[in-house]
Amino acid sequence: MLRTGASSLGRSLRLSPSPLQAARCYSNGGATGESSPGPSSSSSRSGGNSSSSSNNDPETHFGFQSVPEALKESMVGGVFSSVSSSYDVMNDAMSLGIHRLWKNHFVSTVLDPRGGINCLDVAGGTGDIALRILDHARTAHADRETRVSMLDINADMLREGMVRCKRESMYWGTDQLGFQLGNAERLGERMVVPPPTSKKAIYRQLPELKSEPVPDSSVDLYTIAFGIRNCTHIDQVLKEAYRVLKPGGVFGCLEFGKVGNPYFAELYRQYSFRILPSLGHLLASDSASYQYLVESIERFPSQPDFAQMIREAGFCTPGVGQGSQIIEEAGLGQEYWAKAGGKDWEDLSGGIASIWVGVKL
Amino acid sequence: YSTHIPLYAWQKALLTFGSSLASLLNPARGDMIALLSEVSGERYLPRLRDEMLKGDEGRRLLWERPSLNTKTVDMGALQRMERGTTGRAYADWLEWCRVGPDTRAKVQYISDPECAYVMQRYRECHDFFHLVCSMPVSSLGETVVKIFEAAHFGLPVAYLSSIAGPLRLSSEERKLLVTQLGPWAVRMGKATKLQAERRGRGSLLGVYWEKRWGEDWEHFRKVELGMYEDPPV
Repeated sequence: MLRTGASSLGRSLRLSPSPLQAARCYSNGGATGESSPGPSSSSSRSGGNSSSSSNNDPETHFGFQSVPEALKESMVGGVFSSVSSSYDVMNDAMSLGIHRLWKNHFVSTVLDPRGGINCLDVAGGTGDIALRILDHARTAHADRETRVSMLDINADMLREGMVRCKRESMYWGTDQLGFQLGNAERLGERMVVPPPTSKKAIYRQLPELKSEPVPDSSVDLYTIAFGIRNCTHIDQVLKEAYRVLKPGGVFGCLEFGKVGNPYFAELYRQYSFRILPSLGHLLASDSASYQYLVESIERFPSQPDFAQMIREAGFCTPGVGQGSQIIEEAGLGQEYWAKAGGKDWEDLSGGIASIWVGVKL
Repeated sequence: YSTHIPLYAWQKALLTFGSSLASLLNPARGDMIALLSEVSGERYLPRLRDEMLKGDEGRRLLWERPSLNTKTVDMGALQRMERGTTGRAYADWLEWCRVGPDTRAKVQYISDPECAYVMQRYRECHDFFHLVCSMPVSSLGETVVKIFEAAHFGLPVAYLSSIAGPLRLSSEERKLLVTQLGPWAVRMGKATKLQAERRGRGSLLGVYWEKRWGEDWEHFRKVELGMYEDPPV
């Protein structure tokens, strides 16, 4: 048995959660009743002495913990760096493959990209949405002019995306697909590109990552799938989305939502909290990151609240006023939103995931 | 304890099943074998802990709870020790196998903190069992050590690994294992257990290795531990 081989795998995925593990010892913030999955909790988890609340830094939530805002970005970064290479496997295991159906529905039925548009896929990570956009434009509309720029704050996820695009897609090397590092809250700024890492040999073949500011009114379609709940300031992300979109441009968000039916909701919660982190440990040697992921789902605002946030950023949503008419004119899946019955969002799989759409006028 | 994640019994059962599958499919995943040892062995740990409590060194260990890794052990000093000492033997073995006392995965799922330490110590002392058996870090060597551990401690993970291990060996290695090394390991496992009990130590876990670097290795092995035979290979 290869000792060194095993440790390097174990180390890179498993033993880096020192910020996570350390933080877990401090505060037990938020819903104490919901967070402990076990029958008996040891002393370090109960009696949460949140050292972070003693100073005046504004706090935000990191799963069920409270952390200073300044830290959240790097903690989320830690989570995604550690899950990056097994991200796709875990998505399949967590949602039993249904996430593919959600994404297909999101891109093909709801958004229906066509006509040589310029798209920005934020928190694009491993490229699920970007590739679907390009494939849909090509197969449904014979459109090879549509461009997608994949943006992600995490260099490891972006590299995984590049590797995947090189392996599985025909768009690598064309101008239809672009990659950049960026922070969704501050798209107009250039991010500092971290030095190339030799974490995996395959990364060494990739071109260097770059980061360009995104100009105003330059994007026709802005998508963010399963990324917005990880952002520290969701309202800023929405404002930036509004800024970079052209008038008539569409904002599409796919994210986990709250399940409507209470029995199903409870079943889903039990699955999320009792089974998923263990599954994460088995498949990806990392239960802490998956614990964070399920907690961040709980913390995300409900469907109507998030729709309200989208409206506050200036977007026009289908449920309000002439929204549905405008949406249709914007070319979004023709009779689709009229059928949605004038709601601002669409629930998928009973509310496990939801799609929100907004148009900039 | 800080890395503790409490789980229900059925979750542990799920993890046992999953980790045994994962380690069969990919034996390079050391963390899966570690996980298997944790979730499957929890019931046996109180017995091991009680055995440790019988001896002076064991009680010291449980009190002080030292950790064995490159930060707590001065590898350079061990390499400079005289030939024939335990410390030197350990350093030589590490060099021979080109490994180090890497950071082992931390115990997470055991409820009792003391038993969690026993499991952590078991993991960290695995290299010492290799040394005692003079086995390298190859598939065959690991299997022999696992058989030794099974005979000595009786933990289920050791039995499982002893069964799964031979599946991955070549047929010559398997023959060697079945005819010579396996039975030797079983004999040695039982002998060291008996000797440890006679000496009041309970088991090999009750040895405070960190305090025994300077002792004469051959003497320690034969007399204190009871390894009366050398390995046939």
